[in-house]
Amino acid sequence: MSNETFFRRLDEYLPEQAPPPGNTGPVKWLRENLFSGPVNSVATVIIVALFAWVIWAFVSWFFLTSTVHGETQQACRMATQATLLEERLGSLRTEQRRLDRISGQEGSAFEDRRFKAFVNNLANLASKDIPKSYADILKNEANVAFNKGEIAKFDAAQAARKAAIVEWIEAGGVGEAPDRTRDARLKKAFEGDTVHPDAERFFVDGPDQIDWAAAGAMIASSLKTGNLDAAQQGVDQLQPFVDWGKSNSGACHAVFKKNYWQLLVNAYDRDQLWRPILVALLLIPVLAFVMVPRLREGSIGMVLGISTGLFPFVAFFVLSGAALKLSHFEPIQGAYPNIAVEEMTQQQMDDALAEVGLRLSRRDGQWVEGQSLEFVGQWSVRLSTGEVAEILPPGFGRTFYGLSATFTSITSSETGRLLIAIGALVLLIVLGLVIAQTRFGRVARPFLRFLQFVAGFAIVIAIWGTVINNPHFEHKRGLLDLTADPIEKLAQEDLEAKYGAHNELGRLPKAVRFNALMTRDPASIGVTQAQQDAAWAEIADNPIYDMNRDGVVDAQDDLNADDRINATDLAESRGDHAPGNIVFLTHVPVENTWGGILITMILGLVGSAFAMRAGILLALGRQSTLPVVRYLSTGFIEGMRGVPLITILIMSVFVLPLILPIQFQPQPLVATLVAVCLFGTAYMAEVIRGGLQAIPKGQYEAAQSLGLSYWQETNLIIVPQATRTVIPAIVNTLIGLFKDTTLVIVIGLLDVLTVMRNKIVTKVEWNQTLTEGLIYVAIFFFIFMFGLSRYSMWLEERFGILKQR
Amino acid sequence: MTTSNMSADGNAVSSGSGGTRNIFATRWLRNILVQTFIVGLIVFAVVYFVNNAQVNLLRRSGNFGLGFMATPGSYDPSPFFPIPLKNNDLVFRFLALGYINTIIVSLIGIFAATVLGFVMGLARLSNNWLIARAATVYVEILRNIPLAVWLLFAFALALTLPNIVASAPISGPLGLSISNEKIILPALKFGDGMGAGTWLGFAPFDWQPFKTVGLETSVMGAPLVGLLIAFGIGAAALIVLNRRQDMMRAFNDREIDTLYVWLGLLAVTVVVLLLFGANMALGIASSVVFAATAFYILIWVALFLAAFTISNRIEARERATDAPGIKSIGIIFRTVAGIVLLVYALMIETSIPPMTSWTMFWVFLIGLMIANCLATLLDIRAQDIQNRTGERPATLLAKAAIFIVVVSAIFVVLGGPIGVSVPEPNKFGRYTANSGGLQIVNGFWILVAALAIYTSAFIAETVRAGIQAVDKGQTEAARSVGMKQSHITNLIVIPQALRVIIPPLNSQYMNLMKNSSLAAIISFPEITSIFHGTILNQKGHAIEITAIIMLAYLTNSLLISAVMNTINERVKLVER
Repeated sequence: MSNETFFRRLDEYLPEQAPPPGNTGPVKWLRENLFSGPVNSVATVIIVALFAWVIWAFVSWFFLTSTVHGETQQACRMATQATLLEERLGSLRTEQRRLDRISGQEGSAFEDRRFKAFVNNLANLASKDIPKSYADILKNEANVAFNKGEIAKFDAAQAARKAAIVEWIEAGGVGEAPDRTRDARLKKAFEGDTVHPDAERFFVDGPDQIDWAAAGAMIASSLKTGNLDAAQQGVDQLQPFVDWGKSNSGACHAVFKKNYWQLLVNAYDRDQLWRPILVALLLIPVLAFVMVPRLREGSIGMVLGISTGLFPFVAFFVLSGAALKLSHFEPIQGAYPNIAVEEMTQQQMDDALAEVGLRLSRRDGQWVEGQSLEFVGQWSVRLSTGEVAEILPPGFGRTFYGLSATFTSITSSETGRLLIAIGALVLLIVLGLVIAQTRFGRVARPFLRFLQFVAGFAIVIAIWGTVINNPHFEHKRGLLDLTADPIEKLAQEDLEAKYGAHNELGRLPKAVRFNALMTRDPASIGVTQAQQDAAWAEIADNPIYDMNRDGVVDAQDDLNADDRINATDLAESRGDHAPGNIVFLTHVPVENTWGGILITMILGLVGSAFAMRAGILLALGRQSTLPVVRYLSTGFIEGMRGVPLITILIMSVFVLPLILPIQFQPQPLVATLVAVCLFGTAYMAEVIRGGLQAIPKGQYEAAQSLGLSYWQETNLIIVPQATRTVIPAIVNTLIGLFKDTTLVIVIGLLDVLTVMRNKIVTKVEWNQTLTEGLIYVAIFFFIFMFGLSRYSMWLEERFGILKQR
Repeated sequence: MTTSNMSADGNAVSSGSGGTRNIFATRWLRNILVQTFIVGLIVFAVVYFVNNAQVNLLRRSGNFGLGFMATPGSYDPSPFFPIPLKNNDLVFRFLALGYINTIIVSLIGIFAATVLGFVMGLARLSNNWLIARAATVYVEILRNIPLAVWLLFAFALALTLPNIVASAPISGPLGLSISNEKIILPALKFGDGMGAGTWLGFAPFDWQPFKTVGLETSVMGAPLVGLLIAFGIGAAALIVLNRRQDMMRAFNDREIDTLYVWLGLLAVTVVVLLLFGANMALGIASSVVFAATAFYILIWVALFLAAFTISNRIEARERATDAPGIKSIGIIFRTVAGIVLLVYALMIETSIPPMTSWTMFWVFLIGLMIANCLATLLDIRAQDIQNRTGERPATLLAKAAIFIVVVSAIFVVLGGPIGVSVPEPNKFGRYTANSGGLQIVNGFWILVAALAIYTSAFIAETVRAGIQAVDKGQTEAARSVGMKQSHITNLIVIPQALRVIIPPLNSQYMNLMKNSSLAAIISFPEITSIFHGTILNQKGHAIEITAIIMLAYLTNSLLISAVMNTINERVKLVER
C-alpha cells in the first residue's frame, strides 16, 4: 500500500495552477504592451496625459460647451467674450494687489507701465469690440426688417434705439443703460406690434444686446478712471451673459447649421436644388460600378456600365441646364481700352464685331448687364437687322450660330423632340441587341459603345425637353411675360426713342430698366405705386443692390455679386427664350454660382477619371521604343511633376486664355479642370509605369508568341496586370489629387474650402468662426479620404497582393 | 519593356496573295512616319499657340518680355525674413527675395520633416501599444486632410495670439516676444561694429557697385543676364567636370532619360528667358555695372568650381578607401556650395544695408565647410592608416582643433564681428523692423511647421515600410550574436531600411518643396506668393511670370533629385 501511495502514475500531472495575478487577462496585456519597462511606462503615462488633455480640450470646446443655435456668431461669442472679460478683470485685480503689495501703497498700480497697457487692453476689449459687434447686429436687424418690408417702421425704432445708446455711451456709460423698458423714446418706438418678429428676436433669445453694450461702456469708462471696483460692477452686470453662456462658450456650430447648403453647392439656385441631389443619387450606381469589381459582371454590369458612360453627360446636363455657355469674354471695352469706337481701324472693328456678335448670339446676359445703355442699344439694332450673322467670322463662330439655330428649330417643336426620343430609344435597343447577340457586336463593341453614349444623350435631352416644355413647368424656366412689365416697356421705349430699334435681347439688363424708372416721374408715366414698390422690392430682395432709395443703383455691383445671384438674375442672364439657345432646363451659370462640395467632387472625379485613362497611355508612351514618343512623354511627366500644382493652375487660368483664340476662351472651371487632369495624369503615369515595370518579361514574350498585336497585348495582357499590381499606389494618387483640389483657393474657384473661407466666414454675421468652419471642411475630407484608403486596403486584400510578412 | 519588338521584323512584311509590299507594314518606315506625324503635330500646336498669343497680346495691348523686371513694384513694406525690401523696389528684388524664402523654407522644412518623420515612423513600430496607436492616429489625421486646411487652421490659431499693437505680446527674457504678427528672438548678429574686410584689399562689405552707380537708372538686364549666364556656366561645368559615368551613377539607368529631359527643360527655359531678356541686354557693354557684376559672378563661379573639384576629389578618396561614416560629405559640400552661389548671386541684386551681415554669415558658413573638408581628409587618412596597420589613430582632438582654429581665424581676421542683438521696443512699446533681434513673421514658422508636420506623416509611412522590409532574420541574427537593441536598430536595421526609404523620400522632399508654394494662401512672401499674388496683378505678363516660377521649381526639383539620387547610389545594394 505504501508503494502505491509513494509512486505516482505518470499521466497524473499536478492540477493546473492559476497563473499569478499579474500574468493574466488585461493586466498581462497592460504589462506586456504598456509597461514593459521604465521608459515604456513613462512614455505611456505621458501619452495618456497628452491624449487626455487634447481630447478633453477638443471635446469640451467642440461638444460640451458649444452652441448650435443663433443667427449670427455674436450669439455664439457673447458668452465667450463675457467670460473672457471676467477672467481678465480677475487677473487684473490680482496684478493690482501684487503691485500694491510691492509698493506698499494703494492705487500705485496705475502708474506702472505694463499694468497700464494691460488695463488699456481690457478697456479696449470692453468698449471697442462690444459696441462694434453690437452695431453689426443692429445693421443685421435693419437688413432683415428691410427685406421683410418693415423698413419704415423699423427704421424709426432702430434709429431711436441707436441714438439713445450712443448718447448714453458718449456720456460715459454712467447709470443704467437706455432700454426699451427704461427709455421713453425707445418705449414709444417699440410700442405696439409694429416691430417685425425677426427684429424682436434679439430681445428674446438670450440676454439683451443693450445690456451688453451698457456693461462694456461702464467697464471701459471706469477702467480709464482707474476704478477697478466700478469695473467689477460692470462685469457683474455681464453675469447673465456668463450664466447664459456657461454651456455655450465653445464652438459655434450655427455657422454650419445655417450655411450647409452653401457649403454643398454655394450659390446654386435654391429652387433647383433637386438637380445636384439627383446627380448625387445617380453617382451611387456609377461609383458602385467603378469600385466593386463584382458588379461589373453580367447583365447588371452591362446596365451599370452604360449608365457610367452616360453619367458625365447626364450630370453636366442636369447641373448646368441646356443653355451651355461655352465662353467667357471680356467686354469690348476691355479688348480695346484706349480706342474710341470712331477711331478703330477696320481690323479692330471687325474683331470687335465678331466678339460682340458671338456674345449676343449666345445671349450672354451677364456680359450685356455690364454695358451701357448706348452699347446695348447699338447692338440691339445690329442684331435685329440680322447683321450679327454676317459679321461673324467664318469658321467655328458662324457654324456654331447656324448649328444652334437649326438645332433649336428642331428641338423647339414638340414633335421634333418626340421623334428624337423615339429614334434614340430604338437605336439604343438595336445596339444593345447587336452587342449582346452578334459576332459583329463583339468585334465592334468599342465603336457601338460610343454610339450608345450618343443615343443615351439624345434620349436624355429629348425626355427632359419634353417634360420641361410642359406649361406646368413654365415658371421654372423663368419665361417672364415681358410686355406685362411696365418698367420693361419704359426701357424699350427708351431704346426705341434713342436708336429706333426694338430690343430683341430678351429682358433688358437691370441697369437699363432702372435707368428708365429713375429718369421719369412715376405719376407721369402711369406706373402705379404698387408697381413701383414691386420694382423696389425686387432690388430690396437682392442684397447686392444698394438699399439706399435716393442712391443710384450700381449695376457694377451686379457684376461683382458673385454668390448672390438669385432666381431673377438667373432668368435674365440665361435669356432662355432667345433664338439660338436650347432650353430644356433652366441654365445655372457655372461661374460664381456652382461651388462647395459640388465643385470639389467635379474636380476630383473628372480629374481621376481622366488621369486613370490618360495615365496609362502616357506610361506606355514613356516605355515606348519610339524616341520621340518616349522623350515627349518623359518631358511631360517630369515637367508636370517638377512644378507645384499651383503654378499649373496659374498657367491654365492666366495663360490658357492667352494662347487660345478668342472664340474658345475657357471658363475658370474648365481651365482648372484642364490643369487638374494634366497634373493627375503625370502622377498616375508614374504609378502605372511602376506597375508596368513589375510585369515579368515572360508575359510580353508569351503575348508575342501568341501572335497578339501591340494593342492587343497591351489591352489584354499588360495593362490589367500592371494596374492590379499598383492598386494601393493608384488610390494614394487619387487621394492626393482630391486633396490637391483645395489648391484652387489661389485662383478663387469656389471649392469647399474656398467657399468656407472666402464666402461663409467672411460674412459679417459669421466672422471669427473660421476655426469651426475649417474643422467642418477637415471632417469632410477626413471621412472621404479615410474611406478611400480603407477601400484600397480592402481591394488589396481581395486581390491578395499584400504580401504577408 | 517592349524592346524585344525592335528585333523582330525590321524587314518588310509581305501582305496577301499578290505579294505586293505594304509599305506601312514596314516597321522602321512606320516608326518614322508616326514620329514625324507627332513632331508635326507638336510644331503645329506650338505655332498655333504662339500665333494666338501674339494676336491676344496685341488685342490687350500688352508687350512681351522681361522688361517689367526692371520696373518698380509695390508691396507691403513690412519686415520680411530674411531680407527687408523697400516699397517700390525693383521687381527683380522681389523675385530674389521670393526665391531665397522658398529655399530657406524648403530646407528647414525638409530637415524638420525628416527628423519628425523618422521619429514617428519608429513610433509606429513601437512595442508600446499606446505609442504605436498614437503614431497611427497622427499619421492618419495628417494624411487625410489637405495641407491647405492645415495651413489655414494654423494661421487661424496664430491670429488668436496677443495683438502686437493693442496689447503687450507674450514676452520673455532678452526681448523675446510672441504676438499675432511675429516672433522676436534675441539673435547673433554678424558684421556689427567692425572695420572688417579691408584686409581683402577691396573692402567688399562697403563695395556696393549697384548702389553707387544707381541701380534704378542703370540697365537692369545686366545682373539678370549675368545671373543666367552663371547658371549656364554652372550647368556646363556640372556636365564637363562630372564625368559622364558620374552622371550615370547619380541617376540609375532607368532615370537617365529623366536627367536629360530635366536638363533639356532647364536649358529651354533659360534660353527662352534669355531671349526675353535680350532687349535689356543691349545696353550692357557700356555699363560699369556689367563689369562689376561680371567680376562678382566670375569670382563666385571660380569658387564654386574649386569647391566642386575639391568635393569630387574627396569623394574619389572616400570611394577608394571605403571610409565609413564620412560618406556623402562631398555631396553635401557641393550642394551647399551651389546654394551659396545661388543665394549670393541673388543677393547681389539686394545689396541693401543688411547685406553686410548676411555676407558675414556666408563667410562663416564657408569657413565651416572648409573646416569640415579638412576634417574629412583627416578621417580619410585615418582610414588609410587603419587599412594598412589595423590601428586607427585618434582624430577627435585634431578635428576639434581644426574647427576651432578655422572659426577663430575667421573671427579674428574679420575683427570679431559677432554680437548679440537684443530686440528693444520703441518708446511706444512697439517692435519695428529696426528694433533688432531676429524677427520672424508668423507666416514663416506656420508655413515651415505645417509643411514639416504634414510631410512627416508621409515620411513616417515610408520609414515604417522601409523598416518592415528588412527581413526579420536580420534582427534575429543580430540578437543571437548578442547585439544590444540600439546597435541592432542603428547598425543592422536602419542601414538596410535606408535602401527602401531613400527613393520615396526623394519624392517626399520634392513634394515639400513644391507645397511651399501654398504660402500664397497665408501671404508669406515666397516666390509663388510674390510673383503670382502681387506682381502678376500689378504688371500682367502671365506667360513670363509663370515661366520664371516654373523655372525656379524645376531647378529646385532637379537639385533635390540629384542629391537624393547620389545618396541613394551610396546606400543601395551592390549587385553583381
